[in-house]
Amino acid sequence: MKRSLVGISIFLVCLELPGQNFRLNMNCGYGLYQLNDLKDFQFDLKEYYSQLPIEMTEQFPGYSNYSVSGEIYLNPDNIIGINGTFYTTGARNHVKDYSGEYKLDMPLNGYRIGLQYRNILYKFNKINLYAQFKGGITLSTFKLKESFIIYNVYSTSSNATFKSIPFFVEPSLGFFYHIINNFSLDFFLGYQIDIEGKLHRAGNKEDDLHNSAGDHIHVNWSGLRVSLGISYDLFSKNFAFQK
Amino acid sequence: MNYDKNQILFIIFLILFLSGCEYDLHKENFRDIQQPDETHQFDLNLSSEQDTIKVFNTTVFNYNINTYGLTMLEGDFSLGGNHWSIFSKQGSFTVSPDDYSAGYDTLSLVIFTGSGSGSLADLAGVEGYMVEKRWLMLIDGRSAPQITLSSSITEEGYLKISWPQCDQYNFHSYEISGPAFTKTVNDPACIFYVDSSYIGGSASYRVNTRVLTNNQLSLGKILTMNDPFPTLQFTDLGLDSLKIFWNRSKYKCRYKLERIDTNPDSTLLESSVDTFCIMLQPGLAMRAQYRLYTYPFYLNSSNTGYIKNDVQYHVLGQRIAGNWPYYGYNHLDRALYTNTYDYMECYDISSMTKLNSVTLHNLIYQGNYSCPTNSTKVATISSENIYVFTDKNLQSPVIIPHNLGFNDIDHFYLTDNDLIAILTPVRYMLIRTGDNKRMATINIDDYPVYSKWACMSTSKDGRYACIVTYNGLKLYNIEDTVVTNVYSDARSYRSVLFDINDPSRLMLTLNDDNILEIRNAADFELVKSIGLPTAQVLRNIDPESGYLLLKDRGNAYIVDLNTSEVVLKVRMHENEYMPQLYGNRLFTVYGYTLDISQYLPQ
Repeated sequence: MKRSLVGISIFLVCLELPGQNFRLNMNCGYGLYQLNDLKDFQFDLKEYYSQLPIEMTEQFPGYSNYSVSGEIYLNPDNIIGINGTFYTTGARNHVKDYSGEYKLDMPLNGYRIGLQYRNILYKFNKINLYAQFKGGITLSTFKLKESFIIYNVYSTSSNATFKSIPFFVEPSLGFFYHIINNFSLDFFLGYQIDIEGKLHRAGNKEDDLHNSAGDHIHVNWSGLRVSLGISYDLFSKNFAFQK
Repeated sequence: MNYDKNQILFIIFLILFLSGCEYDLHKENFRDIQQPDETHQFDLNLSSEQDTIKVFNTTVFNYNINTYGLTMLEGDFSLGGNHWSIFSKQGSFTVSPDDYSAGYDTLSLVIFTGSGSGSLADLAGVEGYMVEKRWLMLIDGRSAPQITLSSSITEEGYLKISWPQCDQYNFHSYEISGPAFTKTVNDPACIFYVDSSYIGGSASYRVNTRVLTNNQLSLGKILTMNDPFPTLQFTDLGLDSLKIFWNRSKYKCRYKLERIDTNPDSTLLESSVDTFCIMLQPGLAMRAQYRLYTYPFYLNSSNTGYIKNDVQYHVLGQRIAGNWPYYGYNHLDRALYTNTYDYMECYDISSMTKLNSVTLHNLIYQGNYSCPTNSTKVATISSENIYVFTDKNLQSPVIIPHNLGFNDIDHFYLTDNDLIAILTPVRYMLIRTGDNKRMATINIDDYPVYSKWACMSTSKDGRYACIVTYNGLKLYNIEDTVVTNVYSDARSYRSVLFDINDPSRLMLTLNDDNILEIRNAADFELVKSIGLPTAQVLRNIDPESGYLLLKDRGNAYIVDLNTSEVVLKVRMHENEYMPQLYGNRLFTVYGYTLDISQYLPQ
C-alpha cells in the first residue's frame, strides 16, 4: 500500500512538472544493510526457543533496492531533486519436520524519501561524471510473523508490526552515459549512513521494541549502495549533454 | 497538458516495478528425522514391590523410573483422590493411612515422556509415550479396637474366653493375659482361649489388641471370673460318721481332701469325680481341720497358681463357752449353768439359749457349779466366794467367802439340804450355807492323782462322802459335825459317784477291772455289778433321764442303770476328761454341747 502511495506521489509529481528541465531517474541497485540490532534481535528470538532446533535461515541479507528520483537542472552542472527508494530485506527463523513447523518471518521494508544534489564534475563525449549527495528519512516497517504448528494437534500464530524513521545521508560518485535521445544510463556507487531510529509498535510510539538486554532496537540501513538506472529527461532535450 | 504514450507507459511500468519487488523469505530448515516407534520400554520401580502394598503407617515411597533415555515430561501418582505430581525420574512421596478409609485401593502412576524423536512435537511435549502402572494397596491406619471378653465352658469342661475377631487389616496380634500366663497370638482368626487350668475363684483375663499402625496397643476390658470354687461342708451322719462334701466346680478339675490337724497330714480322698467323703466321726468336741485342694486337671509347674484350697474346721457339737468351762444343771429349772470368763451364764437346756448372765469376780479361776435335785438353787465358786442363787434368775445370791484362793477345787457339790462339799488338796470340807458353818473337815492323806475330779463324791443328803484312789477307798459318814470313816479298803479305784436318785447307793469303777459296782453306802454291800466295755471313769447321772455317764480315754458311755446296758457310746476328744450329761445333752470341757436325745432309747 505504501509502495503504491509512493508510486502515485511520484506519478503526480511527474504530471505537475511540465515545461521544466526535469529529469526522471529509475534505478535498480543493490545494497548491503548493517541492521545489527535486528540481527541480534533475531538471534535473541532464536535463543528464546533454544529447545527447538531453530535455525536462522535468512538474516537480513543485502538485497536489491529500487529508487526513483526527479531532478531539476539548476544549470547544466548542478542538479537537485527528490528521490524515493524502496529497500526490502528480511530474516527468518525456521524449523520444520514431519510433526510440525515453527516459522518466524521478519520482513523489513524501508521507504526512503529525501533530497538529492548532483554536481557534474567532468564531461567528455557521452559521459558525465558527477558527485552526488542524498539526505532524508527512511520510513521503515518491521514485521514479526510467527507461527507454530504441530500437525493435528494445534497451531498458533501471531503478528506484530513495528515502525521506525531513521535519518540518512548518502554520498556517492557516479556517471551518466547518454544512450539516445532523452535517455541516459545512470550508475553510481555510494554509502548510506543512517542515524538510527528506534522501532516502536505501529500505532503506539511509546511502545518501543527492546532486545533481551532491554535495549532499544534500531533500524540501521547503513551500507554500501550500488545502483544502475535509466534517466529520462522530460519535456526537453537532454540538458546534461548539451554543449 | 500533452503526454505522449511513451511517457504514460513509463510511469505505469515504474509503479508496477516498485510494487512487486518485496524481499521473499523462502528458505527453510527442514529436518528429516525418523518418527518414533509405537511402543517403548519402561521400568517403573517402587520401593515396596509386593503384590499388594500394605500401608499401615505413614510410609515414604521411593520411586525410580527408567525411561531408557526418554525425557520424562511429568507424572502423577494418585491414590484415593490424592495426587502427587512428579517431574523427575527419582523421588519419593508420603502416604499417611489416616487420610484413607481402611481397605483396598489402587495406587496409580501415569507418566508422560517425550518420544525421543527430537521432532518439534516431541520437543513441544505433545508427542511421546504415556505409561500407566497400578499397584494394589491395602491401607489401614485405624487404632486397635478395645476387646470385651465373654466366657463359656467347653464341652470338656474348661473355661473358654472368647472375643470378637479383629477384622482390621493392620492387625498385629492379640496379647492374651490370664492369671498365670501371657500369650501373643498373631492370627486374627484366633478368637478364643481355653484356659484348662481355671477351676474357679477369682481370675482376671484381658486381651489387648496391637496393630501395626504405630505399634499401637489398645488395652482390653478386664474380664474377672469369680466362679465359686469348691468349699468344704459337713454333715454329721449320726455320732459315728461324718460326711464331708463340697460344691462341684463348674470346670474340669481334680480334688484332694486332707485332714491337716494330724501329724502328718492324712489324705482322705483324691478324685476328679467324687465330691464327698464319708469318714469316721472324729468325736465330740474334736475340732478337726480339713483342707480341700482343687487343682487343674492337668497340673504342672506353670499352673500351680490356679490351685484353690479351702480349709475348714469341723467339730461335733455346739460351742457354748470357752476356757475349759464346768457345768451345772438344775432339772427343776431345766437350766444349764456355766461361765465365760467372769460371766456366769444360764441357758435353757432345750434350746441352749442364754437366759441370764451375772458377773462374779474371779469366777474364771474356779467356776464349778452344782445344783440340788430338790430345789431350783445353784451354787458356784470363784477364787473368793461361794455364791448360791435361788434360781435361774441369778438374783441376790448367798455369798460365802472362802480362803481357798486359786487352789484346785476337785469336788464342789451342793446337797439337797444346803450343804456345800468342797474337795481341795488335801482337804474335804462340808459347809452349811445358812450360816457358813463348816460342818465337817476331812484331811485327805491319800489325795487322788488320776481323774481326781471323779475320785470324790458326796451323797445328795450330805450324809456320806467317799474318796477313792488307786490305793483304796474311804467312805465317811457325816452326822451333824461328826465324821466317821465307815468303810475303807485297799482296792484300786478309778472313780466314785453317789446316786442322785438314791443317796444311799454308791457307784464305783475299778482301776483294774471293767466293772461298775453299785454298793450300799451304809454297809458297802454290793447291790449290782455292771460289766463295762472298758475301764471307765464315772461322770454323772442325768437328772432328766437317770442315765449314767461314764468315760474312758476317747469315748463316753451312757448306761441305763435299770437295764445295766450301755445304751450309747459317743466318740470324744481323747483329752476330754470330764464330760457331763444333762438333759440328754453332753457337755464337754472344751465348751461344746451335743444333744444326744435322738440317739438314746425312747
